[in-house]
Amino acid sequence: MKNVVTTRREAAGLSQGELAEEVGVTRQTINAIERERYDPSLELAFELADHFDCRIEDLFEPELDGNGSES
Amino acid sequence: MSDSTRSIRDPFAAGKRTYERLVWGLVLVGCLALVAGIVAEARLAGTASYLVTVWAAMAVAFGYPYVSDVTLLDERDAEIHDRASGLTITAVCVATLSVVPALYVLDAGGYATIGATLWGVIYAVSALGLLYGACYTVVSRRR
Repeated sequence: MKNVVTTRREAAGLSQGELAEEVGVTRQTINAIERERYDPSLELAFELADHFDCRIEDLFEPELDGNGSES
Repeated sequence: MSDSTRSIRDPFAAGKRTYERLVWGLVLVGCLALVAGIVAEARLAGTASYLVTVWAAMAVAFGYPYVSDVTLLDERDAEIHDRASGLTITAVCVATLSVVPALYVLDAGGYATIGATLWGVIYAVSALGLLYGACYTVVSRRR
């Protein structure tokens, strides 16, 4: 899933490890999310949105096909 | 705060990488001790060393996340574990279902003989399948 976690994190002046610590996951998970290799759970997506004080859809952009379902 | 600073202050604050190295390092030491015991004709000592180090590795693997201040395992690890487990059981099922019934028929017809080793493999795979079925039932009823 496309996301702007890297942009938001860097704007907040945080390292991947610091963000990971803030939201209670490992640095490797933040890295995987930023590289779009892992889609976070709804719970983690809410944690990240809450941390950056924005909505989930401001952080993540699902790749939808023509029918509106995720491809 | 750097990992090294945190480790000095809190021995239970090692990072994920250190945790994984510790667990797999202990397993490696145990395996080497077992092999050394076989080579040096000291099988009892080798086996004892293997059991102690592997149990220590299991204690670290399961116990460390409870006492550590650092997140060592998270949802991504769980998903990787789930996928790997699913892949393993699928591979075993496909291999078993495609081969074992045919072997039974060939054995019964006298065209082939299932040896003791192969029977051992068949029993082990069957036990794995039954264990998976039991675990699946328990997990699905709890969700």
